[in-house]
Amino acid sequence: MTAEPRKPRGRVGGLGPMRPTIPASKRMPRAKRSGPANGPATEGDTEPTTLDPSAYVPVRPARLARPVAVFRLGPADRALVVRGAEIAVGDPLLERARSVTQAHVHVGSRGALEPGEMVEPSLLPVARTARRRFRANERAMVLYVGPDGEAHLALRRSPETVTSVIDGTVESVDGSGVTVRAAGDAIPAAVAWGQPVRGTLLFAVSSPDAELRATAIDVAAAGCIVVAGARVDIEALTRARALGVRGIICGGLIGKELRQLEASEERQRASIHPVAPFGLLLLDGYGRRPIPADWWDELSSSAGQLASIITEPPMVVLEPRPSRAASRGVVRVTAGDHLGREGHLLDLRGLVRMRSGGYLPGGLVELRGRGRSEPSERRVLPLTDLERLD
Amino acid sequence: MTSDPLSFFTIDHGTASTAAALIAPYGGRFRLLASSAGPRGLSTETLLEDLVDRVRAAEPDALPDADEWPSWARLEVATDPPPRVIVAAPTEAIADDLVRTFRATGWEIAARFVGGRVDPMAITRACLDRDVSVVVLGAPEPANATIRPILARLAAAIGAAAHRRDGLHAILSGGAAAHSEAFPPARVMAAPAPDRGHDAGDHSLETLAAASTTRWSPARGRPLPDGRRGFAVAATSLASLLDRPIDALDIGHSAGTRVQATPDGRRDVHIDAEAALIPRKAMAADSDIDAILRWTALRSEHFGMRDRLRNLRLAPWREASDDAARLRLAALRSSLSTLVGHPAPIVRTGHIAPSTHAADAGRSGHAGHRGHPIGGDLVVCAGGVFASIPPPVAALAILDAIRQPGALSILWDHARVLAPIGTLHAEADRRRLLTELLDDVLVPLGSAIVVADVHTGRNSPKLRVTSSVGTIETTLEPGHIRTMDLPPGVTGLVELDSRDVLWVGVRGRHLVMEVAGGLGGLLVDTREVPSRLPERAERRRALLESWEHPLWPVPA
Repeated sequence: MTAEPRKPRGRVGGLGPMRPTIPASKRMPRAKRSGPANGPATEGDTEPTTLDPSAYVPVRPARLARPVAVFRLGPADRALVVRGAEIAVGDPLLERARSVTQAHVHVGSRGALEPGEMVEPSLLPVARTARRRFRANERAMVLYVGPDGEAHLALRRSPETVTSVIDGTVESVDGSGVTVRAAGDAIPAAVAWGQPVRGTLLFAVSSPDAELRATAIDVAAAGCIVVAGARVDIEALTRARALGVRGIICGGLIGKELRQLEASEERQRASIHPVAPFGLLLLDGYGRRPIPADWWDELSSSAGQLASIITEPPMVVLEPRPSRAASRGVVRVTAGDHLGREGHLLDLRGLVRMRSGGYLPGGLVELRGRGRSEPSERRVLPLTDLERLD
Repeated sequence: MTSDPLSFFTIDHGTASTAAALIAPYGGRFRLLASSAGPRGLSTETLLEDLVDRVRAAEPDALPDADEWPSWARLEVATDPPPRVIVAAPTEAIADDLVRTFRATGWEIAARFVGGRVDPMAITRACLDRDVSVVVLGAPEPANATIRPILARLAAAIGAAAHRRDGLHAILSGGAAAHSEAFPPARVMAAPAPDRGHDAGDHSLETLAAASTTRWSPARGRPLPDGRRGFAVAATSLASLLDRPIDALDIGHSAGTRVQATPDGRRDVHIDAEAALIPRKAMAADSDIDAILRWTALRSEHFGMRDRLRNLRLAPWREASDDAARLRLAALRSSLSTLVGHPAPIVRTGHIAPSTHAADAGRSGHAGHRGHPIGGDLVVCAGGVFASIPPPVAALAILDAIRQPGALSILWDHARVLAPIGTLHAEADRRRLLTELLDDVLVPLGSAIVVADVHTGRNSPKLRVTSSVGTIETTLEPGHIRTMDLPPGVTGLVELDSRDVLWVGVRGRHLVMEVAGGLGGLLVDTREVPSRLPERAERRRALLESWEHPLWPVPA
């Protein structure tokens, strides 16, 4: 392709007119159909059949088999496992210091101490160490030794052992963290807050779009991971923590309440008493968001069993079990007035004008009734507001 | 029907969506026959098959051997989230050079440490962050007696962290290379100092940093050319082809990209993760989300809008309609302002379209304004967000960010074809393709005239627009933006008359210029340059609403 290029046929901007074109993509796309109605339309066949949504609607992140969980280390933390080790729930995983201060001692040469090495400063054979500065049995992590022979230490006070909340295999260990491949399966979430926790799965609401009220939590939930529906408010969160709930799984949470929870956590950590770990998992994002039905069913089938909330990546790890049959062709509405409802994509409707003036590809969706007694209804919705549940 | 079997696809795998286009010979030249975009997760093959099916349904003879589409050539690019780098240097000047070099080549600056008195815990914590790929330590070569001890302390601290963390790589720039023994040998490399970039050619720090984005990107393993680099190359070719400076702006899910290209082949590229539609840091920091909400005229509940913006980052394709379009506009304005706020190192004189006559100024083709750089008068924008808001509103967002007097044409790469075209090695091939596809690929959003120094009074400036759709005359008042009907394909002659000197890129009392129409028509902007938004929330919303209201379509 080396021919001399022709001059532009249209000019842009101040140079003149451009030939208007209607891109072919603006024409209505041909729909792909699934099921027995794939053949040519027959006389009297006026009802649209179910459309295969796989070409037009993205799939919800699937259930993850044997996912990898990450447990980060701080500069003064250390791992208690080695690569390749098989670990079980409750096994020591890492040691984390609740309080860290810095100190430096002159050790004379850079090779005297290794970065990441745990030392007892009071025992260091140093020339100018002020031994009274370090308590006996006080331990410190070596950050680095400078060119002047000055060793920079992170003094660890009140170290606590963090135990594993999952069974699995240690895949990697270094100064940044420990990665563990879990033995179970996981449901991925959008947002996580707090610490990894494990507990018995307890349902405190009766439907995926219900909201958890504080009065619904009682002492029976202590030690459990509570499934809270579409939303949980700050009063319920506070009560749950006070009663010893290990964690909460919900569809969404208002960001303001998450900030309030963070502030409460800060205040508790500033006190001298250890804070019980607590984990929060938002399955679908911020605000009020119903739990997707497929995941509600997965969690329901695990009710009463042990589950673990992992914060990185956000997910809830369940006991390994056979995969449930996929909900073929079901789509779920992810935004707008019909948020959380499910149904089937019947047909494409080309570009649909939105109230904002933009144009989005639309689809005709048959939505299931909101309740058992309600009939289904058909709506034209933007394809961008749908997700597949395969 | 043509027997030319040169049909091919362009595919742009973004971080939030994938865009595909079908290009084929038709009517004696290459034409864009169909394009589509879908969220990440949709099968690319399904997208491509759908394009072929649509063209076949509309024009059965347009594509010979359409069944062979899986074997057709593909120009394919991928855009990954920018990798993160820590910058360390003995002085602020060196750190600034390193930040500028790495930012321009697509890196996100995770942390910056300067001088010898850095906090050991802070620098160790930053280096142990699993989200950071690389740490760069720089110094002039040779390092003077003042810098050497500072450099040694920084090297010791960073090298110690590199030994503790397997995934951290180190680049030692300039005089810092003398301290390589402090680092794990397999994960350290030497590079020239930033100020020697112009001499070192292919081995400059900038070249190394650019090449390293593929090597150490968080989504490493995808063997596709980088989409942002392709976009920059294509923009440069376009500037050369049209013989006009071009300001190309791409607002993506993970970063914003600005390319300022001149006809002589020079270009300045700035990639900024903080100019993403919703930057990553805004997920945790309310102050960053609130900075975006400063740009919205919506009066919805504040905390709810914060949540909706954060959900936009978690699921970019959701909720693209109605009120959400206005939130997207706010995010777009904020991202463009962040991106355009970057000062351009290439200072060029302005270039007014040849058909503009500055009768009183006595000059033609050049303009300047108090020594400030003037960007190109052709703006090319790209990114999925432009598809979710009406064209006049998109043009307004561009004008909100690029505050400079002059005439402006705004074009939109609707099918995201520029980046894949930029991967063609031969400039001649890129120019030929762009020449033939220009009309199809670049949708005119509109033209704009930004007039500064407008004063009210008896002698308010007059504006007349003459075109095939009619003649419009109006008086200009300061602080307004208004649209005039000038459809795509129609040229208008704009005449400005004023007793006082007007500043429209050139100074004059009588100015005549030719502008092209677009989907948003002609926007006449007499707002402040630079613009200032009121601090008080209600006044700010009212001002933004006054600008936006005429541009949003009337609800059906």
